[in-house]
Amino acid sequence: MQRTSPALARIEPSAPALVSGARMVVEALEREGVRHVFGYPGGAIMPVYDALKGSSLTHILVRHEQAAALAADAYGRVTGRPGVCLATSGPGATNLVTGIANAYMDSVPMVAITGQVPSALIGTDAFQEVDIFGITLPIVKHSYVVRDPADIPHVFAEAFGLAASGRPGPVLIDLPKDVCQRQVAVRSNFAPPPMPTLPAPDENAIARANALISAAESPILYFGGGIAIARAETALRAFAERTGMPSVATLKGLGGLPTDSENFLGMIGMHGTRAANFAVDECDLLICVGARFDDRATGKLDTFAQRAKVIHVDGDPAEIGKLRRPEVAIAGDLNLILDQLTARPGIDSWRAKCAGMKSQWRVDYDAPGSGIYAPAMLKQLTEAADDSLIVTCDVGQHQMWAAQHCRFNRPTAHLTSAGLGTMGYGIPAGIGALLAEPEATVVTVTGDGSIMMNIHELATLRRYRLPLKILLFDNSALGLVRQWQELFFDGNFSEVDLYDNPDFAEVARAFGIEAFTIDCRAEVPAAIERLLTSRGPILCHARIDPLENVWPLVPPNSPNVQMMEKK
Amino acid sequence: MMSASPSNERIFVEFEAVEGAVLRMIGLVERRGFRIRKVAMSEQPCGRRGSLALLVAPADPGRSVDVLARQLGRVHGVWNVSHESALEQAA
Repeated sequence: MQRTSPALARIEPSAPALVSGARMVVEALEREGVRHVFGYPGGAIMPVYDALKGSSLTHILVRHEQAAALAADAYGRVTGRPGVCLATSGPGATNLVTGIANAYMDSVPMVAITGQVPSALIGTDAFQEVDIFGITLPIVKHSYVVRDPADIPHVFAEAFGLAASGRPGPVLIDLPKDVCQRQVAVRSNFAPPPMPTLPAPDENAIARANALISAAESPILYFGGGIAIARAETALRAFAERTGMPSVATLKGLGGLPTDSENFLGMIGMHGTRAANFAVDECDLLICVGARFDDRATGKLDTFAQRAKVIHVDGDPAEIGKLRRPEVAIAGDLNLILDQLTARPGIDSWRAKCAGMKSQWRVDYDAPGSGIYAPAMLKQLTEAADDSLIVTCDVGQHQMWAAQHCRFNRPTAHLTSAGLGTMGYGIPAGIGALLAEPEATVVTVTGDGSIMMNIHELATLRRYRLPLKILLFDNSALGLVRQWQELFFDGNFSEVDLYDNPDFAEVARAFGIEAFTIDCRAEVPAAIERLLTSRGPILCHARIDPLENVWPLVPPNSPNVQMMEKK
Repeated sequence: MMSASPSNERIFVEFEAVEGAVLRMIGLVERRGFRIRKVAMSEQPCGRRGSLALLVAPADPGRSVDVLARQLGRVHGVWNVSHESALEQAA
């Protein structure tokens, strides 16, 4: 068994200089153009931290390694380049695991670097030894244990290339301590390893797709996170404009088309709009672009768009046919493919019908009482924000309200843990987004359950004076679980009551963060104004009705047209 | 020697024999809903190129070996994947 990839061309031996493995790690990161590294030091990774001093890299010291991985995830989503996280061996490495899995599930470019016990101690149950290579095998695109410091330049070059190419994903590099400490003779010039390229679009498939589009009477464009990955929003918008086709998005697709686009019907699936789900149900042609027929989007799969022929366009050939066999499959660069889908269907009556459904079933923001209605507040917040807005979400009811009611005008405006559903994503993601795009207005929408998962990251905000705007909806409960227990477990509420939450505004102030609490709807406009004009980090603690639910809702494993609505 | 049911499939993989490669592929096959019924692996004398032969059975009828082959094919270091139905007795 080889120690590292033999595809890595070895370094030419002339004019070598002695360099430590740790120094080579830092130089490799600099060579990749890395500016920020999110991490937390510890024993086995200390040589790398020693080499960091004096480098061009800015290290962001988080307060828990999970936050390092989640911040790197958001950084990768916004920039399209791998976010980098760094942790020591053992618990440092295992604390990264949730963030690595998050990146894997949502196809986010990331390079995770872990320290490891010295080579001679590997396999001896040494202090802080864990097989992070083995633990992460199911949740990485690729991984390495570096056995020879001379391999470091090539391993890092290959890791960064793999993380960002094709279908992006996380790559793990495990560094035994002695590998980082050893001095080796290397040359810094080497040929970067070749990366896999996307297949060229099949011209025959393109022609068949155009024929299907021309003949369609009620087509729907269904797009997902692949648009953001391929940076294909311009091509998507041109296609939508050219065809005038009614369109729907997955949770990760939001922002591919501007929310207020005329023919955009909204999100599909479990918490999708009625218009989107019914239009998909009626369509005779479904053009799936960069989406994967995920169960949250399709509901009961064999009832999803059951009258439709399917054209499946994806950057990852392995996604095609995984859950739904398409009539036409086209794998490759979404930009190239969308540009070649030039057929124009005659669908005036279908478009009018969809517009009618959209109008008939538009959201009613008039809620009874004087309490804060989260959907309305989110709508007002994003309407008041400028176009640089990035919303990072935690997971729960507030996440679904954000998806349903915020205005997104670019794919990177909405950073959400879609595949893994990681509570605690919001604040670290806000940190990553702000460092990736410092001029953006970044708002974290969170809940009282989620914020406690990574509340220590308020210290990171304070340390680096990052102007993150946190909107915390507090219903003193694990609201989405409570909602499901109400609807699907006969109201048997089990361990969802968070009546003893701390005073979140006081907690934030203890971290040195400006904070305030609101309880009434009348306070909302001033609260939004204060959030958006604050120059530093700020938290708005909004108490909401504990019994408010997310509507509409498709019960699990039900057809998407069986939507439960607010009574 | 085991008898192969009609749903059994033989998969052949050629790959770069680096650390963790076999574990990575076998883990993928099981995670994607296939039972591994037989495994044979060999490594060429140069030690760089390995080949893996698997006899697999889907855990349920919804699992496609075509999709599995494509999922294996996107693993870094996998050069070639082919598969065929194992209708007759497995060798």
